[in-house]
Amino acid sequence: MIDFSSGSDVILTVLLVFPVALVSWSNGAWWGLGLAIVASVAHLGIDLSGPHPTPFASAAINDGVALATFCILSVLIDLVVRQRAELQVSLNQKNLLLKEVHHRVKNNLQVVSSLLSLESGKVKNPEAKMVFKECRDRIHLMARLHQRLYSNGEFASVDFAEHLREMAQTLVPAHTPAGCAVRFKVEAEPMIVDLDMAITLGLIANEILLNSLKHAFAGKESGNLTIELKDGAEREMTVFDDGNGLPADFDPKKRGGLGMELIRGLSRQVHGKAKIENGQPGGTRTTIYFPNPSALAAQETHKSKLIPA
Amino acid sequence: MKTARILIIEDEAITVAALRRELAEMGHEVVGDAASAREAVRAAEATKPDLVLMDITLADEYDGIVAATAIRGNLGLPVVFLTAHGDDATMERAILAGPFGYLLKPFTTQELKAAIEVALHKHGSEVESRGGQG
Repeated sequence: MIDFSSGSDVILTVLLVFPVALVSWSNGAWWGLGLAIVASVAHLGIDLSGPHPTPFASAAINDGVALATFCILSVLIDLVVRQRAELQVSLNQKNLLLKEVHHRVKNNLQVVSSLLSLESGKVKNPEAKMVFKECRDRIHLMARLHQRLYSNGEFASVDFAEHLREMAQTLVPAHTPAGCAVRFKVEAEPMIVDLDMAITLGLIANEILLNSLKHAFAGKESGNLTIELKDGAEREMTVFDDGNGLPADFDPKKRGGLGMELIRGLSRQVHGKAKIENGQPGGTRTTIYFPNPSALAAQETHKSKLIPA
Repeated sequence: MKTARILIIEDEAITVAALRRELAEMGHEVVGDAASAREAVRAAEATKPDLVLMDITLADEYDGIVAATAIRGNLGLPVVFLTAHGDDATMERAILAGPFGYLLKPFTTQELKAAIEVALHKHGSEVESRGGQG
């Protein structure tokens, strides 16, 4: 039974719900209203279930404190809800912007590729035409990475193994010398890298594959090409063929052609080194050794712990 | 390889020029080009090409998907999308227009050639199965 004389439970409960509902509604937070109703019902339930030893004044103070607490809670919940909503909006905007940037990048790469196509139309020399084609292939390679990031929705990192497989599938058939059947296989361990690293590694792989397809199988009816990618504290990317091998006068210390220069320069860019040698029993073997950033970071942490403070 | 009369819908002039050159090298005839959805529909009605190469982002308020839907619906012409939009939402919208191909920019000459051949072949088979009404 409700004892109005000792606690005026219903009136105070209504008084509790009404301001909280008002504050919640004005802040657009229906959470607060829900909480106030639940708390009021619980308060009434407790009051109705037992005797009321509390005098009216104490009950009023208790309910006033409860009211203030729920008001504060309501405002806090509202703040959290609003902040989460704002964060979500901001995140959605960022994703949209990144998508737009990737879209613009690919569109611009198409324009660059189109310009090269138009310029290549002016030249008659097959070697010069090939140079234009190789430039366009490099552009398409970078665009594919952007596409991979864009479609994954990750925007920051990519599995380079998947990219390497796709690249080999496109490059090898397109650049296999006429009259030669080249079989290729890609044995790649998953390797998550950032966009910069992926583009650099992709360009290195592109140059090694093109070198191999240009020189290894000249005068041959068939050949084999293997591409390997190994993850670990030190990462490795290896391309080997069973073709003609390195020329007798090949000196790895000399500059060589543009392809070789790019392989060396880009390897340095990823803090790695390139090793080009004759394969066993034949052919050419090119390996790029480059550090794993997470292993490097772990080593640095370990070192810093060893240094006494 | 079958040669065809092709209409290019693309708002980037350099890309149009490169496409014209590459298509001519493949032996195709470019019957025209347009940069907006409205012009695209008008050009398709005027030239009745064998194939329409359609960009998705165009110069007016309608996009290439709207133009492709109109061209497919009114004229029954095959459309291949050439676009930098590789997201699922755009592709899902584009599929509803009934395209004969979807080529992501930047594309190689080989990819373009293959997309055109597949589209022409597919459309040819479709026309044959309908009893030669194209």
